[in-house]
Amino acid sequence: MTAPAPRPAEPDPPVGRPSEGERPPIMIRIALAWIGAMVLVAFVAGFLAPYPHTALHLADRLSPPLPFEGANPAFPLGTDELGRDVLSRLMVAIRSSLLIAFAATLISAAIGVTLGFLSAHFRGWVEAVVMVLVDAQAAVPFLILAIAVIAFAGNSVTVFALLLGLHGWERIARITRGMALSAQEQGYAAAVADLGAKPTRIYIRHILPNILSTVIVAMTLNFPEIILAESGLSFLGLGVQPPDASLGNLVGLGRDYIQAAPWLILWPAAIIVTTTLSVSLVGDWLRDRFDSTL
Amino acid sequence: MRTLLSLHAVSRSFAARRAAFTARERLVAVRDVSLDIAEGTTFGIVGESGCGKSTLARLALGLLAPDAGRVAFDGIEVSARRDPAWRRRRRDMQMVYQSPLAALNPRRTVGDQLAEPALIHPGQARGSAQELAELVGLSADLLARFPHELSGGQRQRVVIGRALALRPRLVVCDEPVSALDVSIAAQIINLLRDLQHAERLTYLFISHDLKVVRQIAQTVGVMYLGRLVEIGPPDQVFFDPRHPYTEALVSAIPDARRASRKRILLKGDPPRPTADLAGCAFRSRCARAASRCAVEAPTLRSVDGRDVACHFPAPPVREAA
Repeated sequence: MTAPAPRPAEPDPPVGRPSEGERPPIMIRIALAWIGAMVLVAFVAGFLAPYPHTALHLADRLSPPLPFEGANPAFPLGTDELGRDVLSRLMVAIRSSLLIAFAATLISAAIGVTLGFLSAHFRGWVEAVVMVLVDAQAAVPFLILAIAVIAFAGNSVTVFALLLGLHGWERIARITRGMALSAQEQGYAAAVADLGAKPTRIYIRHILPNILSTVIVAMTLNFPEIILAESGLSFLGLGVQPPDASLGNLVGLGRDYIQAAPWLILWPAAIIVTTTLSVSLVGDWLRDRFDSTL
Repeated sequence: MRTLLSLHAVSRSFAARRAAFTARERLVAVRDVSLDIAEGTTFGIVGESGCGKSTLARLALGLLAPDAGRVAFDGIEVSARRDPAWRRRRRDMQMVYQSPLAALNPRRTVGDQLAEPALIHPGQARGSAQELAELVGLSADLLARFPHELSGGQRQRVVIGRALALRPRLVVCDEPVSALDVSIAAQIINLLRDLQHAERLTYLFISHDLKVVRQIAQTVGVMYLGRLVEIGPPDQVFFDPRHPYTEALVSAIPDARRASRKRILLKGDPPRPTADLAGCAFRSRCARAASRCAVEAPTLRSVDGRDVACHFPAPPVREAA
């Protein structure tokens, strides 16, 4: 007699997830490196910048960047019309633009997720109100809304970051609501509710982790748009005010010298393009990674 | 034996729209259903898709509020208001779902999910995830896996284990094996039976599979369009059906030994269960329907040891064994 056989084993499906540990494609690695460099600059701009960003060097006004004739090696990226070091100003601009964009992205994600969950949980008139707000936000051009708010509320970095936080929340609210509803319908959320869990537990511990990947992807798509909105508003003179620098107001101020000193507008514009492109590429790549059906 | 769960004249309807620009109508999913389940026994519900089985399950658990009638658990009315009392009540009544993959959180490990009831009801749940895994015959090394890494049968064991973590007295099983292979389904049925004896569980067991219900239930109710049309012990109901719908259901079971038996083929589809459906809901497909059936809805009455809702119940069949 042999020992009693264990219960016949049910077949084990194969373990392991596809495409884990694979190196990202070269474009994505470049984009990630660029984003890393920008974040690093944002953190150490205060130490790295060779001059204070408001320091004037009137003797060296509009000095061109290095390889060109007449460049001053003390100002490798050139100087502006007041003799301020473009490199220092760029670093400070990256810091303020990234900081504002980052804060605004988090704010819009928080607003979107909260309103999405509220409308999925309460349904009825709460959902109706949220959806009307979503549609209203989607229908009004953001720049016009922003101009109106700044006109009434005045301008400060805080107001500006909060205002930009209103950009894109409606998409995240829609996504969140839809995914929370389907989570309740397909069962795991309902099953936890059937166990007697409170709504806060269901939403924060169960539904949120399941939709987080989608929300993060939506945030990476929102981030470049917020940088562009910030640049646009600062370019129009409504955002970060001189003598403080942001990528947008550097472009705005450089516009007057586009023929005499094109480097003033070229550097910040190039950084805006490269950074937004990098974040978009990484967001696209993340979406493909998270979506197991692709 | 004392009655654990009792439904009295419970009805529930839903608003539905047939098409754009038409008036809303109310579809009655469960109509005037009464049943009692004795503690420690299994009450099986059979019926075709859309007959209201799952709505009945949700009404029994207090997940849905009835429009009329009342549901009582151990003599106390079950409310569907999601207040703290409702949440405490979950410790007594749990559910096993049709699709275990949907009922499990895809991003939490099996061990985490078995431990979840203990976090929701601190101090009220039994032991550890390991104990629960052992109870439902899952090996402990599966606890670190995610639901999609398990087989269907293993997933259903996780769902059962999670339901039993709170030591419930009533477990409502809504088609617990219909998504599983026949051999795995048999294992799960055996597990449910073993657990019923070990834990003194009461089951409301819903299925469209008559054979499965016959294996596990002491009493079976046949449901058609929201009503219970025949209730009785499974041997009586399935071998000697009296309601014409039960007759048709039973005749559809393939059986090699009784190949010569005539099959009753129902014509057409069930009518829409609108509120103004008068008379017997089955009459449009019934061979014995008479003028009385269009006017008066039959109520359950006792016929040869079971209850039948039919004006013209079939005579007893005596088949040679």
